[in-house]
Amino acid sequence: MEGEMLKGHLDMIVLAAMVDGPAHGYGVIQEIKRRSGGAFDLPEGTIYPTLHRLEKAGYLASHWTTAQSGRRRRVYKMTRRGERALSDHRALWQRFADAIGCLFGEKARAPARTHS
Amino acid sequence: MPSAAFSERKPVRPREPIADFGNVVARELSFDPRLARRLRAEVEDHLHEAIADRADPHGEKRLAEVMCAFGDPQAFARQFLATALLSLTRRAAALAALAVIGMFGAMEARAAWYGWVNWPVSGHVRTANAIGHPVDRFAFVLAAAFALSALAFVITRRAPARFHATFGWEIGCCIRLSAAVALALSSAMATELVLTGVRLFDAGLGANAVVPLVSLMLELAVAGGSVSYILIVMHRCSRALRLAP
Repeated sequence: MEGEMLKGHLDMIVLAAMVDGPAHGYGVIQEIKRRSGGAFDLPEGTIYPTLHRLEKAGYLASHWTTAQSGRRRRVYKMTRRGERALSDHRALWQRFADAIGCLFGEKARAPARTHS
Repeated sequence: MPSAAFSERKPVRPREPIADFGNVVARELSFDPRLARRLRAEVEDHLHEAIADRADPHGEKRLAEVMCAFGDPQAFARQFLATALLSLTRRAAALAALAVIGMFGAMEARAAWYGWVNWPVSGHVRTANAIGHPVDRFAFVLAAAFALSALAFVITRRAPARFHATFGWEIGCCIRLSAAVALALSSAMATELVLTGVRLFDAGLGANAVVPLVSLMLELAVAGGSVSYILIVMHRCSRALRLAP
């Protein structure tokens, strides 16, 4: 999928990937890939500015933990504010997708009408 | 030769690409040490886990793939430049505003104390006040005006997704405003020191001098601390702006 297209929706994509619970950066990337069936294959470094921005905005909270390997790991968790923002995003996206669907549907039907 | 023997015995440290990658990120963000430490740890953890997750048995190839999937470390670090610079300047502007409020409180408390204890005002003190008070007030009003402007300016800015020249100019403006606050605060503080010194020297260090002395020390600590912090932020921002693309 086009990178520029994804960038505009990265906040929503990251929030959606964190619905199931807390995750670290790599976990979020893997979840995005899994849920999108591999369609959203972002450069992995792009996820961190988004995570930091969402944390600053109060949509995510984070803390250090120790991974099984013994390394320090920053784990992110969605806040109530993040859940509300995701819900708003979802509703907005649904309306947008419906509208685009209608638009494409009409365009697809248009040539058929001219031939008939 | 001992040095040759030492160099022969010294084990050759293998290159650690992930640590090197983390070092580049940390070096690029060295103007904000806390952010640099955090991102270095996050990036290194990410890369280690990504390598462990790959089924490919060829180590070198696997490492190259993981690094490639993550992206260039310098480009990665620069994605944080705008937000980090804005945070730094916001902290400096907020601290400058707090310092102005703190200094104002200490000055007013001292003035109220002088009135309450009917502090004797000699000819020397009157002469010093006649010259020093307008300078002090002017410097303080300037500091307050610059601090409020810096705060209003920096609060209304938004960090762009990518650093650009206009944003750099805006950060530069805020740095210059903060520098003006530091200069005006230092001038006001120096005048306060002289005026209070003249007053205490004239009246002698009695029990009544405790409040002016303590308030002056607090004021000095607040002004000194905030000016030092502003200077540190100015230095860090200048370093960061030099890294900007």
